[in-house]
Amino acid sequence: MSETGFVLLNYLLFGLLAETLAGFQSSLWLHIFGYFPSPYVWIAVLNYWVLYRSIYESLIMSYIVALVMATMTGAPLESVVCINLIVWGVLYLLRNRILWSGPNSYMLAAGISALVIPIASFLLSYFVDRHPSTEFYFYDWILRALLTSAFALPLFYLFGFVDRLTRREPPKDTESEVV
Amino acid sequence: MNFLNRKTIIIAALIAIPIFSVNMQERSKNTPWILAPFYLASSVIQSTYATFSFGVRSTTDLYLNLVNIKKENRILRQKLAESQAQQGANTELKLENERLNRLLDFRQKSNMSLLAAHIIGRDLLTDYDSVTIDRGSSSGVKKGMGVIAINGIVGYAIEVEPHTSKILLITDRNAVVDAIVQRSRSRGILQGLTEDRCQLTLLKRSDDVKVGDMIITSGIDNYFPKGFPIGAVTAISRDEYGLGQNVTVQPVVDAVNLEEVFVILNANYQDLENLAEGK
Repeated sequence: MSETGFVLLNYLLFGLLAETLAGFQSSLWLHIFGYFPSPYVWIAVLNYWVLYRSIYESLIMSYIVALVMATMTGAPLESVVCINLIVWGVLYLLRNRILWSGPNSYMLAAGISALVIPIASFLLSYFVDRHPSTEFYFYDWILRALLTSAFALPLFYLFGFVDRLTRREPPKDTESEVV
Repeated sequence: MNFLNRKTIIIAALIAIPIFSVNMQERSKNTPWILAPFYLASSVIQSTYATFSFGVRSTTDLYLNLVNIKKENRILRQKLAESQAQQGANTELKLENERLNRLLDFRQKSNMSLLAAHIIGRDLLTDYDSVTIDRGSSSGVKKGMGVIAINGIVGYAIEVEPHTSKILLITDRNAVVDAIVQRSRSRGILQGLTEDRCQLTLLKRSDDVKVGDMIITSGIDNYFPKGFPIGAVTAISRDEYGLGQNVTVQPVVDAVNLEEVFVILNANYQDLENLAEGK
């Protein structure tokens, strides 16, 4: 397979992973744990691309993830794109300042993203929506962030495996190096 | 050069936000074409997960039931209370049977054309209240069709794919349903507020509403039958100089406990109040 073929395959596999993870949160979690707060597992894909890819690629992935998300939420596509871009912006700002390579930092980034999503959604609805959101679910917010962080660990290795499969260099496991 | 590229991208992204936001006030009537393949993929994945989890649950239930039966058997031998244990083992089946009987009974008694559906997915975001059901356009579901449970309304279809549909619950802040106060016949619009509350808007200050009043559907658009329960009034407040009043409504249907729902394919202008009164 050519270099471009591997790149496209990489995009396709991560798109499918985003779809599968979103389905996991939307459907499988519901049937097993009911309405207990679920982790934002789909955000793991976006995190991975923001932290370990170029700015262009991470922007493209934020749009792909938004398209996937829009099919499983009552939120309009425009809101979903905005939420993802806010998460992308926050993580991109942090990428060169705080976060380092390795699974621990990746988990931290996942936790931060999960904290940012409800805030972004709440603020966006407050400023833009005709009927803004009136309640902020604090415990739900914290619990989801912790769960997202926990789920990020196995996903970090899964994404690394996909990268190796498509001949891209996966992130380093060590914590000492600055990205 | 690298800086310029980055700057361009960041600016482009920031420009994209307001462009997308411009249209945020109005939900577009048609699904964007770009979402079509993603909807297809989501349908397949959610249905697969649902089938898988139903399977896992039945296997787990079977195992748990076996464990229960074993335990009960031990107790039976000790206490020689065979009949009591048998009742315990049958409770789950009995409850399920009762639930399905109620569904069947409701469907048979109703004049409406109803389609039974399973809930297979929930909303990804906390701020929004929608669910996905396992029925779509291939079963006759259309955008806007009402979705109900036995005891009250649940929501309505906002996106319909061949085999799945997205249902906006009445508790979603973007959901609106035409409603009337059952006792005084005052009319308003029910809007979602939080995950377990709605508000009745556009009521005049002089309209007669009391805490405990039942809010029902008006049936005006034939998406829902007339007189179907929506919820009960839990709080009323009036601003000192306002023209209206703030009425908070607790929906009768708790979406958290829902597994099966009905899509109203045709409400046939049924008036459930008259039906209840035997007219």
